[in-house]
Amino acid sequence: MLSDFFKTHEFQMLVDETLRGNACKAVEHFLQNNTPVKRAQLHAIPLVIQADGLAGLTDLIKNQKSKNTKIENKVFWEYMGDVVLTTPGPEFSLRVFLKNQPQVVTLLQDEAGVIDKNEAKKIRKANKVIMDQLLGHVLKIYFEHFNCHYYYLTRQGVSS
Amino acid sequence: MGTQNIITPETIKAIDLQLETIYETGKSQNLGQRMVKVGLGPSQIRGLETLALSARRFSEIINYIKNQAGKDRKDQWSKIADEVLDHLAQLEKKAKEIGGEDPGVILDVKIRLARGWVKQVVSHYLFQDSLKKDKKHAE
Repeated sequence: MLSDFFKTHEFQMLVDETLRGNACKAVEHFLQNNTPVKRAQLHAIPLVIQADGLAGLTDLIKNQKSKNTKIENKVFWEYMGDVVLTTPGPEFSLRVFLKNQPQVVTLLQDEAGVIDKNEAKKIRKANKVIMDQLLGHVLKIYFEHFNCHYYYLTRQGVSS
Repeated sequence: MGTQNIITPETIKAIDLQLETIYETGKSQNLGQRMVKVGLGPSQIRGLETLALSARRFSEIINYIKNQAGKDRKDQWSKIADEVLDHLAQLEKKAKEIGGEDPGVILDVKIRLARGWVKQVVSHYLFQDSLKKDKKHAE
């Protein structure tokens, strides 16, 4: 049961250390290859997650991608889409990271050996539900790690 | 997967020994002194202390320092952040040595080490800050 997993020390360790490492890598990867955006671009992220979880963040990313005229901002929000939304997503994405955690693997059904297409589809659907729930649960802490590491590396002061 | 952990008296002793070692190396004193030198005020140091004593996750403390450095306009936290983060990384490493394979124990040890460490740093800061003020009054 996913709710039981969230109560375990293994999960707490995951969010405290491994998730932090992944979030920091995602920040560093972005900054290595792109122009930094002002910190104000990141301010809305924790607010929408608090208000509406993954759905809120999905809307924010889609809106920002479509409305932003500044190239670097557009690039940033496309990157956020890759990190959070794209399935299966690039190597550093949050979804891939979570799916590769040994504790998470045990929560998912394995469709590899399933021949029946309908059965495989059912399994994929069930796994997506679990992954979305898991993602929704770690998003707030993930973006705490992400945003703070971003602010630290870019050190823009208060005004940006 | 367990949901309970027990901090044994041996683990408590290991934590205390580690904190004593940190004290004896002078690292926490030096950090407290540096915090005075870069101009951090008592309220900022108390903010760090309050956060560390109330945090439920070790990474909250790390993220607090990063956030302070990120928004720093007075060139204070940004001067000291790398050093503080290095201290915290060392604590995290030690917690794993003490906690072994049990994630519950490691998590608990990390927080306890962080709290012990911050108390040392804050004490040294307040002492150094009072010396600085006494010197200023004497001039």
